[in-house]
Amino acid sequence: MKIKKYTTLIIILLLLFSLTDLWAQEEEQPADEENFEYVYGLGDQIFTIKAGLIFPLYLMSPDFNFTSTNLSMGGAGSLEWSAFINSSLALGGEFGGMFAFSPNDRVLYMMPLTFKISYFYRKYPFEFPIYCGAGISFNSIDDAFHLDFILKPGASVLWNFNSEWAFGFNLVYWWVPQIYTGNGDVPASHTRFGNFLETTMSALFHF
Amino acid sequence: MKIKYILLFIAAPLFYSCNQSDVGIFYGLENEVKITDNSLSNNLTIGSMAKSPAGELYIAAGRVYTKTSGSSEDWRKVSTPSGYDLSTSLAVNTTDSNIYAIFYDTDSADTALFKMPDGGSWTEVTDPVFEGSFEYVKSANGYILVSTRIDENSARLYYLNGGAFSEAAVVTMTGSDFYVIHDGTDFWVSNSNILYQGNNLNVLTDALTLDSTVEIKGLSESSGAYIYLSCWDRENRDGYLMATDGNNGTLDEESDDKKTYKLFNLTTFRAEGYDFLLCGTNGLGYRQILSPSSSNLDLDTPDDDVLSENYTSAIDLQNCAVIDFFVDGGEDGDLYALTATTGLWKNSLSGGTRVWSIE
Repeated sequence: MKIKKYTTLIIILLLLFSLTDLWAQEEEQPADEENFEYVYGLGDQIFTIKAGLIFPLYLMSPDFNFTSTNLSMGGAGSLEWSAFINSSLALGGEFGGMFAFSPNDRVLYMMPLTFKISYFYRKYPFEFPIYCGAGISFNSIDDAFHLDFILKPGASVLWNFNSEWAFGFNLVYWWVPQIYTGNGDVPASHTRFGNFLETTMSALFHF
Repeated sequence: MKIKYILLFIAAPLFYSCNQSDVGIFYGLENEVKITDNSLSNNLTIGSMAKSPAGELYIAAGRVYTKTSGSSEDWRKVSTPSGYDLSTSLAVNTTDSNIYAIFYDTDSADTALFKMPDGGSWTEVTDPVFEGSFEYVKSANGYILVSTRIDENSARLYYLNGGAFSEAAVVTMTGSDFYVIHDGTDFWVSNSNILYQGNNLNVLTDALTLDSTVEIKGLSESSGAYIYLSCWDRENRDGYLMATDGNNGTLDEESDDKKTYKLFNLTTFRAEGYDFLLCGTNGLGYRQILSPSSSNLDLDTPDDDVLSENYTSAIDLQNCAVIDFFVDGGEDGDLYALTATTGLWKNSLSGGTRVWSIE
């Protein structure tokens, strides 16, 4: 009796799989598009290199005074690695850097190291990832150095050149709270929240 | 366990700061003002600075440079007297309106004292016959003082008020470096470890003798109340301030806050209602005392006050050897910092704010 039940179940499952396969064949995309649909899945990885410009926006004090950063437009770049946990969501890390010049040509360097979560919207042949990175930023100017938090929300437009390579444009907001507690040499009144806008071009390789 | 480490990693920036400066990075940028460069080379050593009664500024910086006080014009080189090419010391005599400068001939190592009216030409001062080689020229209360070096351990001090130069009544000059101020009543002259006082330069008495290892590196007078001395103890390598109320031989206070770096000359300056005592240092810019008094002699790093704008962001100044100051005008006037090898710096009002800039 049990054997009959199992046999029936297996037959039903095989039929279901067969039907699914038939529907899949009916819905097949044109040959030149098929490689780009749902190419990412658990374990797929992407490596991205970015380079471009950064625009210092403004500084904000804890009492909500907004002031100029006094910085020139600068350069920014980063390397990123991420892995997909499903077809739309990727987790990874990014290490980057920026530089910009003060009125007296002093150079501010910021090097963020962030964890990053990305969500991919797709419209062939484009992808529209939105993401947010959070971590620490190594900031220095002259011989002063400070380690700060950093939050980097952003969005990109990627064009898939082929199944491995994509190229795109990225817009990333840098929020850098530089907090001084007043316990060291720097008074707490020097606390400022830095705001920057990164605009970069990127090349993405997935494997 | 993993969460604990992640939280520690995230919280690390709260506890970590490695600032060589005492100014926040973003805060320093926010307050940075562009430094304008008015044509002087930025690696000059400014030996001395003076202002003629007609309002012309002069500096001795190898060559003698001049410009009109308060103008934005560039500094102009003044022709050197024939046979001489360098000058590192000059002063203006307000009595005869001449600029006195010591010149040096790099070929022969010969030195000479010259005087020049504003915009005129140099004339060598040869009366009397000065003993030794010329070293420094300074002014106080309408007098010109000139030191000459006889040998390694002895020197002479001459002064001029109107007529010819006479030798000042400094009993033993153990080096040619000296500082002089006039407090409205008395002259105060320092040489090596001794401070002299007198209402006439030919009647100076020993008001204070410090340890033989101590050099007096600067003098300043504040509101007629105190005479301040910057001192450098060669043996213990201590830099500190002293103050006297002007009575013969009575030193009121010595700063507890001794520094391990050499201090240079002092000046007082009033800006936006605040009284400052400024002291040059060897390689750390200048240090200051806000509202100095005999009981407040501890030198502070300029920070967040009316004189500190651009001081910390203008990195060259905070790392300079500031050897002297020059005050041009009153409370709204210009304050100059004379440095060794890093040019001339000016603190002046710019858009209602005092800002340091390099000339």
